[in-house]
Amino acid sequence: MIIDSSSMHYTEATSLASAVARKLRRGFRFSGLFVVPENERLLLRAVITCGAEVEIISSSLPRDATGERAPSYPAISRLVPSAEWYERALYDRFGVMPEGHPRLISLLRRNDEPTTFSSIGEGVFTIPYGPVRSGVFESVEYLIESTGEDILHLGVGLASKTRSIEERFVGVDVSTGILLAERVEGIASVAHALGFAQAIESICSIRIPRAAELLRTVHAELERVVNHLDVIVRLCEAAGLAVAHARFSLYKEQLMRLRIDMCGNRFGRGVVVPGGIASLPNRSSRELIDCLDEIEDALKQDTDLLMRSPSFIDRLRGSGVLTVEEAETFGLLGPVGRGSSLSQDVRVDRPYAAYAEVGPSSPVLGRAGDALSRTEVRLDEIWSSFSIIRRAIRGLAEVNTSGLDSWQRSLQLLDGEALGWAEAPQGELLVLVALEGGRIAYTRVRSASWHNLQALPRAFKGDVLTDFAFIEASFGLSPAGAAL
Amino acid sequence: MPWLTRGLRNGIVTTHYPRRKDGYGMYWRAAVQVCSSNSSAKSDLDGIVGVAADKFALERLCPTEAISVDGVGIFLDRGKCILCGACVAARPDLFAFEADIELAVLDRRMLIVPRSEEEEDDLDRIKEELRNRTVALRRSVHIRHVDVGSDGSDEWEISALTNPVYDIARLGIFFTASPRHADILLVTGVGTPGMTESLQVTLEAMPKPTVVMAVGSDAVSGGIVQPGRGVGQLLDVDIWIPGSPASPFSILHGICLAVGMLKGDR
Ligand code: SF4
Repeated sequence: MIIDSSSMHYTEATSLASAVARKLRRGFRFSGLFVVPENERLLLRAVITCGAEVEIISSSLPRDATGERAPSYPAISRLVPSAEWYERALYDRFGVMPEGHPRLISLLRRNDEPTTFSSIGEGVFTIPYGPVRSGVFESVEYLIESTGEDILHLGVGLASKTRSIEERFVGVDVSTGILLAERVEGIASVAHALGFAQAIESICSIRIPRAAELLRTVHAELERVVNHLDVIVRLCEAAGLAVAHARFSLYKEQLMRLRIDMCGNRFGRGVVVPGGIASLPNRSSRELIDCLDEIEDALKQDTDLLMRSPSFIDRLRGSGVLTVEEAETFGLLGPVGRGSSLSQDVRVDRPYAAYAEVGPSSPVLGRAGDALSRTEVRLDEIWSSFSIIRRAIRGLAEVNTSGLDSWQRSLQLLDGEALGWAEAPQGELLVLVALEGGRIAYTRVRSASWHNLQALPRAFKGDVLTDFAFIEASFGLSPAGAAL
Repeated sequence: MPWLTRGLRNGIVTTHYPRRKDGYGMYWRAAVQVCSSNSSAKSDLDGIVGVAADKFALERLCPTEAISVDGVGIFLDRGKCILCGACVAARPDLFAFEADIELAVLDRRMLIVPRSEEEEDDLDRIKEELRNRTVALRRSVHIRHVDVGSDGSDEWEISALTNPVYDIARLGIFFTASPRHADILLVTGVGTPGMTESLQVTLEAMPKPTVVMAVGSDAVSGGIVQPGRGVGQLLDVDIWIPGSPASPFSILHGICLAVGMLKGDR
């Protein structure tokens, strides 16, 4: 979506919070808040969405004449709780001061303040967990406040992992930009490449060839399946189910290898480029479909068994509950939101690539909002992804795919700014890109990992320490995508 | 006991590596090689003059400055390469993907290809040193992992080592939750300031001798995310594994190097 005066509302910084809150009362959800440079000033861009609609409300931040004080504005999170983390992060990164913020402590920078929450009573202590975790995990810091068994509160810190990757986009060309985009959240490279490429394609107002749309869809859905499988693998590991762990991790590996046959890379990198597709499958449609059918059959049998294993189900049922109200308040994304019956899925709401044609007709929803519900949503999405992939591959067989023209359009780079999006396996992804003179002026990324992580502490309600691994895994987050 | 009978079916999928060579097949883009006819092996004067004229154009092909051209020839630093394929697409006569999985090396300079013969000699010396240091490790080996700013994909590839295909437990290799039992430290990521201290604490808690492995091009050189960084600036690295991310086979190759399990090393 091109961002210009026709698609964007301007408002004074002093009334930005109330403008956003007003929209939320009309059914919109708060989707993101960015700070971008404009000449010598900073602009705030709030993104709100409602089904197919996306609106951007912008405010220019007043500059202090002396340049000594940080620009400030009345905090959105006074009225919109889900903006809390956004404003903390923007304060950390740009020094933009949200006045009246309920809890302005550092999230991305290390601070010496003790990060405690409730007043610590008798018999309550805090357990730091991370940044170095016990096992092969990305670094993230948790502070668990506990009585020894019950978890009372959870704090999250992202300082250790912050790579400042957004700054790396400044001034680079588009082909370097896509390489960076693939590495913002490396387990969802395809989704990030799609978000970025679609923003560039909007700016240059080109439509990519149909074959490229179909193949993008295939790669995006393969990525979804492996990510969802990864969550199942982690849950099996947490439950100590050695055989189930082996079986599901085998299917994940088989699909990673199928991706090698599709593009030479296990993460689908180098496939999506602005303008289309850069890497074509090395196997025929028939071979791909046969391979997928075989994996799906085996996976279905093991899934039936897993979902009848009390040692698995009992650990997930009732753990880490997020109510519908909480899901709405936080505008939770992806399988986490859908597990709490919040109906949203970018593939359905604002279809891109070939989803309008081969995509899901409605989001997969769960009811209970617990770890089990999130797992069931993921499993159902896996089956739906297999069907989407098959439809897309069949579609490919019907279009003309001879010659590079049928896969890629050449780009005439124009100046401008656009918002791209995709439904990553973790949920809605937003990528804001501005081009100037053929180079990237700036890029802002908002991953679902970031947005949903904010609600992770809310999911601990009377859960005990041994539930931690299950609840964390059921969120399916990547700290790399959260700690930008 | 339905799970039990299922578990038994896994035996056939497990790789025989390192006993027998294995890989991901011909489509796997493991690394980029400089085509030999244009490398330092050739002393054709015309070729070199031609290459020198192209110096700027060739070096500019690469977004991570992995390609360098000097009077001797074209060199490609796999530690910086993120396998984007730009050089291969632009100059298929000079650069090509290869599918080899044994990419781990014992010296940072070894990641620059093509290698000279002197360097190969050096390698034997380094190997010997490492072998002497790791004699005590040979029976069962425990691995600790620390992420110092990865993109998340490196962790997936390390975790994959426990799946039935690689099944490192068959080799007596295990991940451990405590640094006090760890022999090998796997480090992923570009080396963020926020992780420097935690990394040191982990390393110090490990019993000596330790083998430190930089896993993935981000860890080796900062990759494209933070060029010029990498974990080599934070601690002494014994084994370097390129790749964006490093593949499970390459990581396994590195671990095998560490414990001297490779064929001919015994
Ligand atoms: S593949 Fe890409 S990163 Fe690697 S050397 Fe070639 S141009 Fe550089």
